Amino acid sequence: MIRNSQELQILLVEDNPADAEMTMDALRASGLINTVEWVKDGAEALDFLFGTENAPAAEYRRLRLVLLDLRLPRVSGIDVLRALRADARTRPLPVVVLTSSQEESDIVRAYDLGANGYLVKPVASEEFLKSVGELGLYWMLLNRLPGETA
Amino acid sequence: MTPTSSGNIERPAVKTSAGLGEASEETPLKTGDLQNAIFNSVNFSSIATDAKGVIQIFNVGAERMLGYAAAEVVDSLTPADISDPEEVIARAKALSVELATPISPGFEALVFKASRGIEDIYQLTYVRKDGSRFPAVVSVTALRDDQGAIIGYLLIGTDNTARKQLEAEKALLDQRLSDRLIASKRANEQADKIKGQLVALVVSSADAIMSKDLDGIVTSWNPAAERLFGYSAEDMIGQAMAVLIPSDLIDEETHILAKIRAGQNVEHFETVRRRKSGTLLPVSVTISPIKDQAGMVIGASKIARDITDQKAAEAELLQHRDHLEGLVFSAARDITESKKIEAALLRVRADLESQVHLRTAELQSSNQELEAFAYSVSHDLRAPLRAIDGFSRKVVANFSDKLGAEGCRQLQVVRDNAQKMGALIDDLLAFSGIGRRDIAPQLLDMDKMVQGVVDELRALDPQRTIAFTIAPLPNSRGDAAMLRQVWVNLLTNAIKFTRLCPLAQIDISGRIEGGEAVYVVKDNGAGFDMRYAEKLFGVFQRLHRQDEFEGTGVGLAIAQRILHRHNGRIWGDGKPDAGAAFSFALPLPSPEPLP
Repeated sequence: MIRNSQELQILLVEDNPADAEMTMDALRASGLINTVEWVKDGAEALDFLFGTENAPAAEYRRLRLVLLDLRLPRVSGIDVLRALRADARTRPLPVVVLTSSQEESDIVRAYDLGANGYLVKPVASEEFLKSVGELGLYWMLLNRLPGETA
Repeated sequence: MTPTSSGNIERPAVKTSAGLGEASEETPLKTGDLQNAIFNSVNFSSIATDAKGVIQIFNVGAERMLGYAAAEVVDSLTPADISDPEEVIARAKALSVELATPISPGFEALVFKASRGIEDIYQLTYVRKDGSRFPAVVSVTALRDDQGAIIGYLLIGTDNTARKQLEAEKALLDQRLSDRLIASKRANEQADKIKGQLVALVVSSADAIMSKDLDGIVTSWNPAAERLFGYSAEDMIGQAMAVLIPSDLIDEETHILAKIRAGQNVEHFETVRRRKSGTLLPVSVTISPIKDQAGMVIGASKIARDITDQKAAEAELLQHRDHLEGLVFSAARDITESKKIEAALLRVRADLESQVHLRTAELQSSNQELEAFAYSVSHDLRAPLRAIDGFSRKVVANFSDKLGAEGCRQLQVVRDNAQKMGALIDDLLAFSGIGRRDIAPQLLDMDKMVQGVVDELRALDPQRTIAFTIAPLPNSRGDAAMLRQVWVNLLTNAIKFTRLCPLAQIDISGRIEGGEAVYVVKDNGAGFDMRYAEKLFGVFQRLHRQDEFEGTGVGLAIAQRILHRHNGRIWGDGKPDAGAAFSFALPLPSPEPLP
């Protein structure tokens, strides 16, 4: 059931390097190493997903999961989510919000815009490692997307 | 019927003198003519009898008056037979007494006086043939022969009916006259009586009653007038009434006399009169004209009443009225003042209200800012805490051989505090979230809610043995999630603070009291010192040391905030080591608003 890891990609949109490192630690700890692309804000995320004039390659095709922080410089996580859901190509792409906010309004808004999950980053590191690791495993290994063959 | 001229009685010669002195012997009246004239007179009944009374002649007048024909009575009846028998008897008796000789009640009674030569004219009731009766005046004359012996009697009668009627009328008139006289006398007596009463009234009246003639000269003066004005009747009668009038009012008398001459009353006018002593007297005066029998005005009566007391009372009333008016005025002024004050108060209140509105808006705004700040800060604080904890863990994991046991322990302290701070931030966020969340009120089944919370909390720590008693609870209305949080916080505390009790006991009860639903969570745990009771509900306030009972000190603050948002309240009772009881009250769902 383990797929070719070279084809499996996670986009991590996170402006906080410590959180980014811990997230990648957690994913690595669960055996999903070398599959993460880390961008530091929403604008960078959109460039990576849909390409730019200089780098026209749209990388969304290689992605199976987006881990999206909400509070980001330049373009917010919410706007990134909206853009992903507005484009037919990225609409089925699983997006899990990974954030410090446990605000009900943020949760509701995220789901309204088509988020597939919402994880409040725990302060306690063991809990953090466990939650993010399980999350990665689920979406990368267990979840099935359209067009995929078993 | 023709007069009977025949008879066997020897007619007496009638010697009469001729009337009017013209008679002379040379021209003697013919006796037969005279007799015929007398006997044929229709207006007299001429009845002649023999000496025994048997009728011999019964003339035309007698026939007409009595209804008999001469032939029916001559030689058969006596005058007594055609007279009222009762009267005949009565006459007999009366004559017997008068003349002191017995007289038989028959013809003798009719002629006895005449038989003795006494002229006799009397009244008598004749009875007609048909039985009817009429009064008659009868003149009786004895007829004698030449020797003077009585040979018969002549009874000449006239019908006295008309005269009787006249007499009756006269009697009636006399009676009427007499009645009138009596009535008049009575009227006079009555008038005298009334006059007496009037005089008594006038004399005893408290009002001065006086009269004067048309020139204003006093003609009567009663005792009250003497008392009122000080002048006696002797002083005043014959004097001018005007002496009573103060000089400045002298015109009054002229007007009064003018009105009286015109026959008008002068009714109830108030004026002032001068006493003999010179002092002035307020009086109420009524003046009426006095008329003679022909209706001519001949003077005036005057009634004057002393109104000194009345005037004083009036003055007093006026004084009272002025006083009252003053009071009303001052009350009105007070009201005006109070209105002004009220208006000022209203302005102040309006100012205050607008200030309150302003301040409320400011507070709401700064509250929102604060909450946004808390939200932002708590999120931003959480990230470094995660890093502190996460990287401390990494150091321990990766370099524990270099750190040694003590280094690892110390880094663990760093991590514990980082996590503690994370918990504080979570609670702070929860607390600030209560204020921002909208309340969705609904009817709450408290029994069900509490049972659910108790079950859930028990499941978190299955090792604990806690005796819960849950009494039936009144339902109330509120936000289900928030009030559930209240129960969770109170019961969590109760469970926490009974941890050291050998037999933990938690009692949950409720009641309706004073328009509120009151709920109580009572435990037999560590309790608290009431001196610190006010600190119970402050954020991050704790009454126990962390090494005794863990906690952030936000649970009761959150509960209080939830209750305040429901217009409810919460309070605690306790004693150190003797348990605590936390109560909260929610207003009962209001019934339908009154129309």
